[in-house]
Amino acid sequence: MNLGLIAENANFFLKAGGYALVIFITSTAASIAISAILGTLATVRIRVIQAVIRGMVELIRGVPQVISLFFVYFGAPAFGLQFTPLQATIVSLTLWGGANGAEVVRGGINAVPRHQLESARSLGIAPLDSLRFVILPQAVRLVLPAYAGLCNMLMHSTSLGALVGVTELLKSGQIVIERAEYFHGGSPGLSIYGFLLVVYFLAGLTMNAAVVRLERRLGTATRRS
Amino acid sequence: MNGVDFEWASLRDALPSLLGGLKLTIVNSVSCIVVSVLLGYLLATLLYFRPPILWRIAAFWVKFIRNTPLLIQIYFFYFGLPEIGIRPSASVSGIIVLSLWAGAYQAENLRGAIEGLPRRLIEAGRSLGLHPLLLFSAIIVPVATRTVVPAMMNTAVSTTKNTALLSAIGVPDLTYVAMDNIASTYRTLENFLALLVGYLGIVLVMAAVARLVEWRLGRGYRA
Repeated sequence: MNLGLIAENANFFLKAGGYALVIFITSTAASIAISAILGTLATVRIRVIQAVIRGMVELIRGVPQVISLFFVYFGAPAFGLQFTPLQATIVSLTLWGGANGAEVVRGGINAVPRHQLESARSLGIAPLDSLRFVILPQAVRLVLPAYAGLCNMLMHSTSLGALVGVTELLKSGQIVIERAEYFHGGSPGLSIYGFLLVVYFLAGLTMNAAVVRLERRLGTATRRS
Repeated sequence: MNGVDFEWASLRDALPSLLGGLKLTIVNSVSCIVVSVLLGYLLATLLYFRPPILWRIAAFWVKFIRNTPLLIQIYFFYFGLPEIGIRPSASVSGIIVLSLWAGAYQAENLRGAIEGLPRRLIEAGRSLGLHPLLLFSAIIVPVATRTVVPAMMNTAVSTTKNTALLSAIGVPDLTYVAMDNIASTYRTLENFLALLVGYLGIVLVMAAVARLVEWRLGRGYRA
């Protein structure tokens, strides 16, 4: 291991980690909003809406993430939209997360037994209120494990930003390696990329632990009521 | 600039190179899927029988692969190994890494399916006096395979889509060829259309195959 090289560049890596975090948090937050809206709409029994949402979701899910990223960055200018690398990464990850999340949310809402809605309606609760106070709270609990998996993948996907030139962790690693090759000769690829793998691994474990806690809290909330 | 600029002629000119890339994408996907499914069974066997040290290695492998970005794994392997004197080509590295990656996911799928089997199935096998190895190979694996197919096909589709990442280390697959065309001819939309059609086509075919396999494995179980 080339620990000296990592320590030397600690500040650079920290800054790059900051970019990765910005990409992750922004795209996760935006995709949660999109998937909540689209996923709920997809359960409304209007054929046109369902078909349109289904088409968009399948289109985004059917294409590799790198390609949607390349499309947002290199392809969108053909339609008069120019993004910076950071924006392009966030936009494409948001689209991907939104499409996959919409599927998860739709599945979660459909998994709530139908009589829940019928009971709520027959008690005289308005349609939107029964969705908000009866269906969604139950769906959130059902959806949580799958959604956590999705967030995990979004976190990994921040590394795709390197391919369009965002200086996130992977790109910073490449830069450090190139510099080391230039100044000291010999490639420290194994230690630098190994270091990045460990960083992502620890971040992933931390997130998993947080999800387990969240699940436990939501679980106890059910039992108490 | 006004209007969207699209020329069928340039797409026709690019077609031979794109088809070459598509072929490599398919070859990469098929090899990775085959190796990863075999690897998945191997790892799941280790996780089931838990031989002393081996199963800890298998468990750590699955956990580590599933919690780190594939792109960095690819770079680690391809740009890292020369440091200790091993220089595999981009294609070979790509197939190895992607197989190792997908193998971890397939193992996790299988482990889940095996854990989901009804307890009484294993108890019945034991009470019949089956040897643990025979119980595993003749009862547990076949029954678990039947339930794992949807998850396994999902992972296979992800594997196919992730072959696109191999273009980052210079494997001349569909993504690489299309992006290369864009760089040299500036025909952006034509090449993205080709990518869309290529990958969606593969994914749709795989979805159809998945339904066929599920139907075939479900025979004798339907009323």
